[in-house]
Amino acid sequence: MPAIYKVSYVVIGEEHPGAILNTDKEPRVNELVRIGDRQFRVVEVQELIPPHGDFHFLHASLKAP
Amino acid sequence: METEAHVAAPPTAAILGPAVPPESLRDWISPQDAVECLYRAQAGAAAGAMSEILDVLRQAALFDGLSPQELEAIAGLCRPRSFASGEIITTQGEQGDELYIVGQGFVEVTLVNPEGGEPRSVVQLGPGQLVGEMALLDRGPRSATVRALTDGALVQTVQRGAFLELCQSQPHLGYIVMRNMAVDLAFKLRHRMLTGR
Repeated sequence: MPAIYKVSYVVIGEEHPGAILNTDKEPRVNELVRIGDRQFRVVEVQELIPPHGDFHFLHASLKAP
Repeated sequence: METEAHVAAPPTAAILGPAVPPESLRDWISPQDAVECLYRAQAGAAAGAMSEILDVLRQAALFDGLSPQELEAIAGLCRPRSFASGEIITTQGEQGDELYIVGQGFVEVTLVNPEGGEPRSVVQLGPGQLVGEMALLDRGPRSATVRALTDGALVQTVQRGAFLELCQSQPHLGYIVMRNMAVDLAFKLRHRMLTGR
């Protein structure tokens, strides 16, 4: 099975709860990400927990573009 | 019933009649064929539903490490439920005995504000994420209110009793699922620490 990236998205600089969701593509800095009806830019990506099986556990910081 | 609409009942003559039915009855399906068609349709629908559930389960880290047979055993416990946008899935403080796995759409987790005012949104969860695992494990009241954020949010629900029974009767499955559930709780805790909410 292809890798699944479970990502904790944290929005910085504003009151937003962030999101946890799975993607089939590793998030990259400067990419745009849509959460609900908002779009954000990825400013940082780091491993939150070591990968296990098919899953990678990442944290990504987001900012409004 | 849907099945009744698809398979017309043959006339009595087709059931009890001669081996070679009269001309006017030749277009009717025989009772044996009708029953076979019905079974096939039901089996096909069940296989399709099972395949959809398995697709959802494969996307959930909770079930990572299970064999295909173990995954099918979990899928057998799943019941799909669809929620409209804004509809409540769990309510903070209430008792609950179901675990939810988000299959489609997004849900929002909110907490009552102890100082009054509007509830505070703490996270949005997308496909593959768990809801209700705390109450499933500790039998305490729901720790948060969860509502659908998108129309047609589809979740797979699993009853606590059947789930724990399966975990107990299949120790490998039980160990993997409980370990993954602990990882999921740790992941959510880390997310919450990072958001400061």
